[in-house]
Amino acid sequence: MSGNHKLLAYLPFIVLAAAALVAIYHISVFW
Amino acid sequence: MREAPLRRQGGAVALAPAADTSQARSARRSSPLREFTLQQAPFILAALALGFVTAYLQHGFVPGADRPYPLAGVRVPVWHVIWMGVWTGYTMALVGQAAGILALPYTTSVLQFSNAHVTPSTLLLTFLNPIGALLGFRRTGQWNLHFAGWLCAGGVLGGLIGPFLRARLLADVDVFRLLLGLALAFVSVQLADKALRGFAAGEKAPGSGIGAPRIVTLARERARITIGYRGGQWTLHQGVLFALGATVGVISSSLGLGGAFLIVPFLVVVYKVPMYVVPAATIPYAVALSATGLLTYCLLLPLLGTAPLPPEWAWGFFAAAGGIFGSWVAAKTQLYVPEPLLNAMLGTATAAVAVLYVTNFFFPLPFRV
Repeated sequence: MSGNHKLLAYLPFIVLAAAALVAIYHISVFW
Repeated sequence: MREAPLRRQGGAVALAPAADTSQARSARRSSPLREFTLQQAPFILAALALGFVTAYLQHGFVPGADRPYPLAGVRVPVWHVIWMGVWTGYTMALVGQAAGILALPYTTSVLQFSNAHVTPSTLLLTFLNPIGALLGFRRTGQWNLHFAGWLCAGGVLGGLIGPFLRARLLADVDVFRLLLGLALAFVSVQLADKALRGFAAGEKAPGSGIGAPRIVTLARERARITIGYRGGQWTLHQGVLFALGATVGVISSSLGLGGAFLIVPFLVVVYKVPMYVVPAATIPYAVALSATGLLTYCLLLPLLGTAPLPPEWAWGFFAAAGGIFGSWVAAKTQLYVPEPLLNAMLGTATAAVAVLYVTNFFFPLPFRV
């Protein structure tokens, strides 16, 4: 598996982690 | 979402004498950047532009972090609404679900847009997101109106009824969340099942790539229709499809979902229709149902004496712009993703939210959900 493909395999989990961080930021600022 | 693999299968049928030239042309044609620029970017830019235009037309300004969305009653930066479309569209497309099933609880719980306007606003997302895939499936032959027609007709009927349910029986946010929680629980079971058995990841289209990869109508006798695809064939009762479309349509349009989360398991379990054929019905169904639901929320409700429930148009367009991009990235990268693990994670997350919503209905929780 090439480096790019490894990154693509991790991408969904990176995206979910980013989504969780953004959600926490939103809750802390706008709630 | 399944457009790319099916295209590759179709491309494998190229005639040998022109193989070099056609492969070179095919490589140029299938360049992701070129495909994105020509096929996806126009939709995304149009959705973004419509977001800003409709914000001015509906409210006279663009709501965001400083000024709340008037109907939603919440302040959310524009980039966050777009981001929500991106990540929900991307992750859910990877596991064969629509963005709405994740976008709706995120919108109601994290973004706190939980009044009745959230439903038509999410319907705008479920209407716009599948259109790119719909056009792609039509080009590649993943399209059969005999198969989708009665289901869509049922969806139209359901889309006429569901909004009245939302405006009356589901007007209370806790009751709405209870029903949403049950829908999420159902989705979490599907995801857990896929994670455990890994059947979707291992499933391939039958045949060796010989013959046109089109979903064809083999027979229509009385109320039964037989469809075929690459050697396989399935017989379905159109009355059942209509009733299924109508029932799912009532539930989905009252929540703000596209309906595939209920249609797919029914077709797969009852009729044994394989996963790679199902989108031929569920994608046009989501478009027909969402369009009818939106029209009902905006026009039919006031005509029949109920207050209209217009969507936050800008919200829906911004989310759809992100969703179109996210779904496209998912289609291009799906082969490299460990799908069972992702199914397990998303299944756990949806199950947790479902438990919170259902519990909160019976035993109010000490924190906001």
